[in-house]
Parts: sequence; structure tokens; C-alpha cells
Amino acid sequence: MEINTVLSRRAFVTTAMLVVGGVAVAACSPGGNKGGNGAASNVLSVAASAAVTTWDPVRSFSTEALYLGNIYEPLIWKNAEGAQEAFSPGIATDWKTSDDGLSWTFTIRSGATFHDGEAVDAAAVKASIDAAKENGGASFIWAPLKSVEAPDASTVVMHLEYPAPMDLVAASTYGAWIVSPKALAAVKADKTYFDAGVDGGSGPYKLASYVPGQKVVLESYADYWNKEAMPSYTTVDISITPDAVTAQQMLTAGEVDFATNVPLENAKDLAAGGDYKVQEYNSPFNYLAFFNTTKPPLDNVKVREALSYAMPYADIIEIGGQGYGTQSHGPVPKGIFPYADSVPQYKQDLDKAAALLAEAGHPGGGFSLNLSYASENPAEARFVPLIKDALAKVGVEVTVRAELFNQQWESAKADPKSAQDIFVLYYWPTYSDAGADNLYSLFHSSEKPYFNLSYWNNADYDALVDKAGKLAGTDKEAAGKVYREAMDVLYKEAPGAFFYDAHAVSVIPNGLTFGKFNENYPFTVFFAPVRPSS
Amino acid sequence: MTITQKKPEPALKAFVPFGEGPLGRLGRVLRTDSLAAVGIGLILLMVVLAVFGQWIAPFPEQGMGQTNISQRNLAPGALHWLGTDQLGRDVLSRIVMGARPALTVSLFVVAIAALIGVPLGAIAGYRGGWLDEVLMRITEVFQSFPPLLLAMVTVAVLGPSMTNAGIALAICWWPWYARLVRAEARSLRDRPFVEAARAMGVPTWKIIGQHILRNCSTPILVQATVDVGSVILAAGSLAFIGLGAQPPSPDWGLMVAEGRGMVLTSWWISTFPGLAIFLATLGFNLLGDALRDYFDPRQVKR
Repeated sequence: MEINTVLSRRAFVTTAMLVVGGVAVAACSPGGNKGGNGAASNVLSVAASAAVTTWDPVRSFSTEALYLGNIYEPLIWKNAEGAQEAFSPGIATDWKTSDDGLSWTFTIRSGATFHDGEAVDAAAVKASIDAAKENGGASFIWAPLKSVEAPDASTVVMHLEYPAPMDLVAASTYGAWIVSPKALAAVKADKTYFDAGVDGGSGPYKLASYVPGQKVVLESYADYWNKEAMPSYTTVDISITPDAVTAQQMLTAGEVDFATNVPLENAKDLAAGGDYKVQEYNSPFNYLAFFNTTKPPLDNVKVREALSYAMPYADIIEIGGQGYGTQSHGPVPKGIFPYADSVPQYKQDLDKAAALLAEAGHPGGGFSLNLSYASENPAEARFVPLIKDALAKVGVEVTVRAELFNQQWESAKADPKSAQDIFVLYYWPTYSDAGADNLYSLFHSSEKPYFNLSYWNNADYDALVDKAGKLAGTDKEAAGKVYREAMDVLYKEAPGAFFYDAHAVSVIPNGLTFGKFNENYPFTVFFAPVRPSS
Repeated sequence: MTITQKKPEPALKAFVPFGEGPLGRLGRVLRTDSLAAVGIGLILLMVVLAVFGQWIAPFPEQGMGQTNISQRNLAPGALHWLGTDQLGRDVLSRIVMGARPALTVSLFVVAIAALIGVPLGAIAGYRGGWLDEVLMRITEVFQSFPPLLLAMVTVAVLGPSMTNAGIALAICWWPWYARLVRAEARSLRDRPFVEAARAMGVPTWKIIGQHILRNCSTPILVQATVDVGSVILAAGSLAFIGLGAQPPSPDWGLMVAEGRGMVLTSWWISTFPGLAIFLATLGFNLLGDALRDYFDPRQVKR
């Protein structure tokens, strides 16, 4: 299931950084609207960084998620960390799995309609899932699905090849939107159907107009089923503004009410001025480095441990993340399953690093390593010099190679023996299962390297991750335990160094109230819960 | 060519050049054209920084990229004359250390561009015919793209680095030399002294080398001087968008980019390197003007 994560990664490596490197505000948690009166002058103007690569909700696997989450709904929503319930109803009102974990039954709500007037029913859900599995941008998330049935208008049954957490899959931010059958038929007949900027969703907003590269206008959908979550702003007028500095200027000049991303380094200053407040949330994004375990000296676990002790974690967070982040506990970002505080961390300890190097037969270091990072990522560009300086202190010379991510990744996949020694990566799971994604994709062995760029091959680790993956479909708690054991192996064997889990930072004007950022939909800014502060 | 001399000169002065030597002419250009003096001063300063930078910079290690994060984002002051950047590095040191790569890359680019463009232009202009047609159509293919765009595409393919930026810029720059030399060569090839050489059986390569190229060296030199400045600007632009020099190297364009997000609060991080690019480009432009005056006495005074 990890195979296609790269599609998204390629497309939005830049904007993804803007979300974390800059600022993302997202508000999820439908419900709680008391004053949605919908006055005529209700326009929210926004500067948003996200480009639209496609309006096709099935093919979408990129930055347009910022808008799509307002237009479409999945079967169920995964709630932000800290909520009482793990999920909230979307198009489904109820869902359950069979004892053997091989079938999932969703009850579809009645009375909901798509923006084009079609009824939301089981047949529409089946058609959407079939389309997503067949040619979705993130079709791989449906890999466990054998077939989907709609026995009656309000029931959908998924039959699986093997047990899998289909609740997480159904709540995915990619490849799980439920689409009007009319729109699905139209796009089947004409692939360019969505290009003009039309939608087939059932969400609180519909797409009113779109000027490529310039403007997206959303208008509230009067017949939205959830009257409690009706948008307060009837129109959201979005200027597509990829540049964070420009967005900040538009915001401070009063041209827009809100900017989805401003330069991270300016967030504190803006807040200090008194007109804005900074909100900080956990995000699914993190930074890590792979050590090339196939060649000396990094094939020696002692050397890898030494380097893990030499890394300047606190400075990396301070400079790379401008202080908005926490040191990682392994490759699973905070707040995402199967994250655990109990997974041990390395802290910078240069004496210990030097001692370990001596033990490994490299007293005083004396070797050099080359490190590659993605040049388009400003946080990496900021913190990589710190790594170079820190390793120099234990006698290890680091040659830095800045490459565009695609080039960095291509050369890393080619031949491990001639590849980089250290690979710095910015990563996030495609949907909220970092066991099936991060732990598997980044460190499970494979015949050919893909995202496992330590080229590490550890039978114990593989067995643990495989076992946990199977358990996750039926018993998440037990799966989490096994994943934690796997992360302990990662700590001991140190095939990589885990820098920090980036925070999503939002600069909110005092005049506006947003919902809580939802790390499960990290690219989406939910406009429905936005309202003027009273 | 501003007229800035203080003392009124005798009216016949304009005819004097026929009698003066090269040094005299240089002196007169400097005396009468104070902008040329400014240009030469700026270039000299840059060359001094490029050669002796590590002894001039107050913090040479920081200039080369060593971080010092406890001192970050400091405003200009007694210890750090031009302030410090996001990683606590002395901005002045980085500007000083940045002179060498800026100069090296631009000289490299101009040299390569001239090495490719000049011979091709001379051959095309001298031989004419189908060869001329083919070579000129090729230069037009290159020239039909905005130079910086072509360089961006090339770097994107090669991978972002200072060397690749240099190669990309050289690829974009040579057609201008080819066309310049071709025009000169065309006007020279039917002149009596060239025809005479041809009639005497002098081989083509020798005619091109001795008669054509030697007679178009002035415009090439002037163009090359101005281009060194333009290339500094272009290489800085590539670094600014992340396609040129990479951190932690002290590149002026890169420094502007690094401080860009904070330009409203920590203005010194971007402003001073930007100023360095401006002065270097200005210096080479003024020098180019002065050189043209120097080599072409008819243009000195109007």
C-alpha cells in the first residue's frame, strides 16, 4: 500500500512544506454552529497556497485537498486527536465489522443530496468506491477490498481479502470521497469533465467558480444535510497565492481575511503585534534521516548509534521548525496511530557519540559521509548545516548534496552501494495509519528500495511489522503493542535518525474563529466552521 | 558618458587622441569619465575581496557556512557590522566570502560562452551560405527562449548546483556572442585587406584568426565585460529560486532568498547581499562603457 504514496509526494512536496513550513489552518469537527444566519454580505476572502492539479475527486492526490474537503464528504470522518470518539459520521451513520474482520457494513444516511440534486444512497457509495479502487489517485488504499455491495439503498457491505482497518481507509483524505453518480458517469464519458471547475459532492460548500492559477470561489450549499454545521460564510473567495511572503502582505494589508500560509519565521512576530493569534497543532509530517546500512562505516550499528547521539535535535527543531515541533519518538508522527511516547529517543550527547565511534574502531571519527536533502524544502535547507556542524564535532566530515526531491529519490533508489550515506526525508502517511505506511514503507525490507532508503534488512523488524499489520484490521490495541516493539528495534538498530514531528501552525486573525486543526486531513482548510469572533 | 570634467578644456582636445598612447588614453578616460572610475573601483574592490576574502572577513568560518545559532538574527552592530542571519552567521563575512564564487562563476560562464560563440560566429559570418544559415537558425532556437527561463529548465534537468547553474547559463549565453561576431565578420570579409589575403592564398583558418577575429576583439571585450555583471545577476537569480548555489555556500542570491521571508523584520539579511549584487553588476556595466570609450576614440566625447 505504500507504493503510490510517491504520487502525492511528487506533486506536492512544495506545498506540503508550505502547510507545515508555513501555516495551515484546518477546522474539522462538524456541528456546533449556532449562528449560521447566512447574511448576504457573508464573504470570507482567503489567500491559499494550494494549486489545483485536478478537480476530479477520484483522481485527486495532491494539494487540491485544501478545497475538496469542503466540497465532498467521505463515509466517515476521522476525528482530530483528543476527541472522545475516533470517528464522526459522514455519509454513513453507522458502521461495523464482522468478527473475522473480513467484512465491513456501513449504513448510509437518508435525506442527503449531492449538489447536482442526485440522492446520496448506497448505489452512489458503491460506484464511488469502485471508481476509486479502479482508477483513483490513491487507489492502493483499497487494496484489501475484494468487492463492495449495495444490498439496499441504505446499506453498503465491503468484502475484504484480508482483515484491514477499513474505517481508517473510508476516512482517508485521498481516494475516499463519495461522488454523485451523474458526475462519475460524465467523467467516464469525457475525461476532461471536471477540468472546467465543476463538482459532484455533497459537502457544505459547492464549487462556484474557478480560474486556473488565480481563483477558487466556494458557495455554501443550501440543502446540506447537516443543518448544525451550515457554513457561517456563504461565499469563500479564495485567491491562489503560492508565495508565503505575498500571502502575508495580503493579510496584513487587509486584502484578505485569512492566509493559509505565511512564513513560519514570522508567526511569532505577527502574534506579538496583537492582531493575530498563533495556534499550534500536531501534524502528520515529520523529518528523519536514513543511514545507508549497506556500506561501511554505517553498516556498523555502533557508528549509527554514535551519529544518532551526535545529532543536534533541539537546534534542528529551533531552526528548521522555528521552534514549532517536538522531537520524534521513532518514525510515527505524534497523534497518528501507532504513535507512543514510550518509544525511546536519542538525545544529543557528543561524548557518548565519540566513545561509540572509538568502540567501533573509528576513534576521533576521521571518515566522511555524504548527505542528500530536498533542496525545495526550506526547513531542510535551514537545518542541514546544523547536522554538518554537529558531526564535525565528533570528527565526521559531511558533504552536503542538495537535490530536487525527485532527483534525490531517484539516485537513492538506484544502487545502495553507490548511493548517499545519509538521506534526509520529509514524510507523512497517506491516510492515518502510520503503521501500515511509515513503519512499513520506511523500514520494512524489500527486494528493490522504494522508501526504505536505509536499505535495511532486519528479519525481527519485518516479522513484527507484518504481524501488527494483520492485527490492525481486528484489534488495533494489540497491533499498536506489536508496532511499539518494532519501534524499539528501530531505536536499538538505529537505521535512521528521527528528528522532529512538525507542528501545523496557524496564524488566526483576532476577528475569526476556526475549528480545530485535524491532522487526518492535513492539507484541508475547513471553511464551514469558520465564523466571526463575537 | 556624462560630461563631468571640472576644467574647461581647449577646443582642439578632441583631436588629440591621434597622438596619445594607450596609457594616456586610459588616464583621459578615467579623468573625464568619473563613472568609469567608479566602475573600475568597484571591480577592483570585488577582485580584492575574491582573492583575499578569507583574511578580510571578520568571521571567515561563518562566511563559509559555520553556524552560530545563539547569535541569530542580530541587527547590524559593533561586532557584526551588517548583522547576522537566521543561523547566526555574520552577514558581512558571508558577503565578503561570496565575492569569489560570484566572480568565478561569471568569468567561467562568459569564457565558455565566448569560446563557443566567437568561433562559431566567425565561421558563420566569414563562410556565409548554408553553414551560416544552419548556425544562425541554431542560435535563434536558443534565443527564442528568455535566457533565464532556458537556464532554469536546464538546471532543473541537471540538478540544482552552482556548477550546473554555470553550465546552464553558458548554454544560454553563447548565441549572443555568435551573432555579434557573425555580424562583424560579415562586414569584414569583403574588405580589401581580407580579399587580398584570400587572393594570396592564405588559409581560411588563418584569415579568420588574424584578420576577422582580431578586428572584432573590441566589441567582444566590451560585451564580455558587461556580461560578467549580467551573469552575476543571473546566477544570483538562479540561486534565489533554489536552482543555483546551495546552502551553506555564501552565495549572494541565496542569501537574499534566505532572508526573504523576514524582510519586514530582519531586513539586513536580504538587503546587504542584494546591494552587493547591485554594485557588482553596476561596476561591470560602467567598466564596459569605459572600455568602449577607451577602444573607440571617436566615441569619447560628444
